[in-house]
Amino acid sequence: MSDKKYSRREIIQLSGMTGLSIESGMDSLISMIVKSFIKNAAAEEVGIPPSTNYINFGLLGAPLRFQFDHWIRTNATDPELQLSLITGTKYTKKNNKIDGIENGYFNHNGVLVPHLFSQNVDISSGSKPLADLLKHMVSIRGFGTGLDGHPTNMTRQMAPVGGLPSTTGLAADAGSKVFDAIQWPARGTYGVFTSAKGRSLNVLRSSSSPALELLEGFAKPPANLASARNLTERNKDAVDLVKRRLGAYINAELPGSKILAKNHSNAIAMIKKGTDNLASYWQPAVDRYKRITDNGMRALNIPGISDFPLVFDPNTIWSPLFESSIDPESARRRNELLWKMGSGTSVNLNLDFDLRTAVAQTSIPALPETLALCEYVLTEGLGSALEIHIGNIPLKIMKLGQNAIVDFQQDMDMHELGAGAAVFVMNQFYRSICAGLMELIDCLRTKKIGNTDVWANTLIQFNSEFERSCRPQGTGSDHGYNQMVTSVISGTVTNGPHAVGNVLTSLASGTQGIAAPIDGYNQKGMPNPTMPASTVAALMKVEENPFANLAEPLCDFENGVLKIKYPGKLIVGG
Amino acid sequence: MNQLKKIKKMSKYIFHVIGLLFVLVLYFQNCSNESNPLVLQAEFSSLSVALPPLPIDHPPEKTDHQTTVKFQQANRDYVAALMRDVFTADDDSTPAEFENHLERWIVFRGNQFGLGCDVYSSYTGQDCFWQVEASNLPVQMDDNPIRQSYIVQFCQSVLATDTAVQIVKKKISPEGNYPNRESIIKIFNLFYRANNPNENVINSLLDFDRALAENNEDQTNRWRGMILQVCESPGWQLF
Repeated sequence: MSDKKYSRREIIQLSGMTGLSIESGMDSLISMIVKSFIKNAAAEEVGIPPSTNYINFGLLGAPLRFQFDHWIRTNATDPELQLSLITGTKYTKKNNKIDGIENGYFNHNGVLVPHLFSQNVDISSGSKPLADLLKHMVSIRGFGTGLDGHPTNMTRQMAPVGGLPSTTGLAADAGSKVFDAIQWPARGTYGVFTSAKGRSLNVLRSSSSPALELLEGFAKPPANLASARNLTERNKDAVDLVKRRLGAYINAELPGSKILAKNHSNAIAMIKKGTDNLASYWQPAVDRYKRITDNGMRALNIPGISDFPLVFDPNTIWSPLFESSIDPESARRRNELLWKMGSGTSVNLNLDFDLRTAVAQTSIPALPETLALCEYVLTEGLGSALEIHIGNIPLKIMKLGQNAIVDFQQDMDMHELGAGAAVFVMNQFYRSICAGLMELIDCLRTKKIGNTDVWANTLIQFNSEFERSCRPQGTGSDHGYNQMVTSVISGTVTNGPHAVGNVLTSLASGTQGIAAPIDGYNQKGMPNPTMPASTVAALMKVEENPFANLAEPLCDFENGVLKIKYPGKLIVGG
Repeated sequence: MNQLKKIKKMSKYIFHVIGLLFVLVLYFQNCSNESNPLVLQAEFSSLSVALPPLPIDHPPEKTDHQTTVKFQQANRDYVAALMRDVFTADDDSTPAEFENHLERWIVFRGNQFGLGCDVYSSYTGQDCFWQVEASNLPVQMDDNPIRQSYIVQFCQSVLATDTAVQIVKKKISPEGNYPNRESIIKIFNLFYRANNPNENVINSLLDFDRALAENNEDQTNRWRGMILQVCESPGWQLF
């Protein structure tokens, strides 16, 4: 036993509970920690904007994006597109039957955007136009790698320069939240996380409860392992005191001891807070997002998409790309190629099957959970960098020559998705995602940190490995590593929509967003993935854009307003 | 006589060759740093004043940065080895769940504790999570509250059993029934391998034990509490 007996006053003094006025090593530490908290709180109070929250939304597998964010003809003065059926966004009809596909764009605040954004979705606050997303949106197209490969092309976009931070790493480095970066579901080799400051990526592997897994370090132990925790809770005051004293006295001379003591103290605080509020939040939130995203996916009677039976007339001449005189049997065979689904192998759909039936029970796997995770992490201030992605599209179809409706998974690497089916399937897919995002954005708007709401400092980036290259006459698509696209929907952007990056028109198989050089840019030829990374870094308002010397951001903020430095162009090419 | 003349004549050639070799050696010696006064100046100057900075406009970084020094923190291999040493019995009394706790909170937490897995080892299927990505982790990671929460969870899980308390007690062979100054030092040294506890640390832990006694905690719980506080204290992770 110790010879020294501490008086109550001495113990209180040692514990740092007397106004931090006593000169001792431990008091200095506690003073530093408290001042740090006060400083952070003060920064929030006076309105210093926190770092930008970043969500990397992975569309892994590289689904078609022409219906969503791969905008090709954005100016009314641009030359007309040579139709490539795969880039179509809307059906044309005659006598209440589909008779073709068109590049359905409409003008929104001076920018031509796809037909999708003319639609409404139902979220918690009522029916809302998807066009509400546009003022926060920037489409960054016109770049590529020139090389094939799913994982490598994703990696090239997320971390385009070896040795520099990845885009998620940039956000983690700029942030100071409990969790540096979070990934769910696990992406494996589809991407890479690199931090310049030693920040870590928390990869979650739970199949359905990622938030519970995220916070398991703060959760209560199971009953059979609770004796040590119970001892701690029974003797709370003594434990608090000894922790403060050990934190100050052990290895005080080592440079990292204060940091470890602070992190340990924060961990204990989080453990005390527990995860009870998560348990009451999680399932209702998932149910809410599921209801909204399912409604988005299953909604019908959308003009130009599903306001008539989606049954193909096998004798219809579909496109100017087809010969003008074609016999009915040839037309039927052609239509079968447009009216198919699949990835490695194709499944022809029954031409009498109303495609609208395909989505009647469809939910996008993992989408409700990812959105609930994002909402919880950002509104609770637990993290500022997330990597999320979703799964394949489960559908109900009727195959050619059969009368039974069967389950079918449309792979996101959608080589064999013909243009005829793609317009409807992709429209519903992106409606579902956008409906969920609008709900998320509404929730982030209601949560304030300091003087600003969370959404005002949040950026969502959509990444896929590449866009699709369109097969002639709309019979499917392949890997478009020379026509890549990424887009941003962000609270930091308030004067959208914007389109940056140049694309070529007049290719033999139709205009499909092939990347084109930018006049006066610091990259010659087709820009590589440093271009979008640099642009996204600028939109994230990072203190130092590590990619800027290799690729200027195509847009940046001046006095808080986004300025487009290189407006996107549609260039007439060969 | 003729032979002498021949030798003299040949000696001229020999001297010329030697002279040429000497010049060549000197010439190439001039390429070395030591013979270059500018280089000499630069090398010595680095000992006293900073060299001119590198051009700051070379890609990829736009601005130059001060060199930073990071503190060294134990990675998952070190932590696992230490915990095995502390909580593994000399006989076969170690609870079977011990390795599960270790894997759940330490070994499989490479993202917090650092050290990439070896995809070619027999352990690959576990600590690599069957994915190559975990092989690229840095040897050491920066500290964060998550890592510290895992340490706390691990210590509390392991010390939930009386067996673990007895294993540690056996390792330190305490003389008394309750923690005292000597046993506290021994417990401390189980976790902190490089240094002894100072007086403030010992007194803090003694005060803690006194508080547990005043709260009527039994003998096992007083040992459990003592080991738990040292186990949870983050300082042993520092080098």
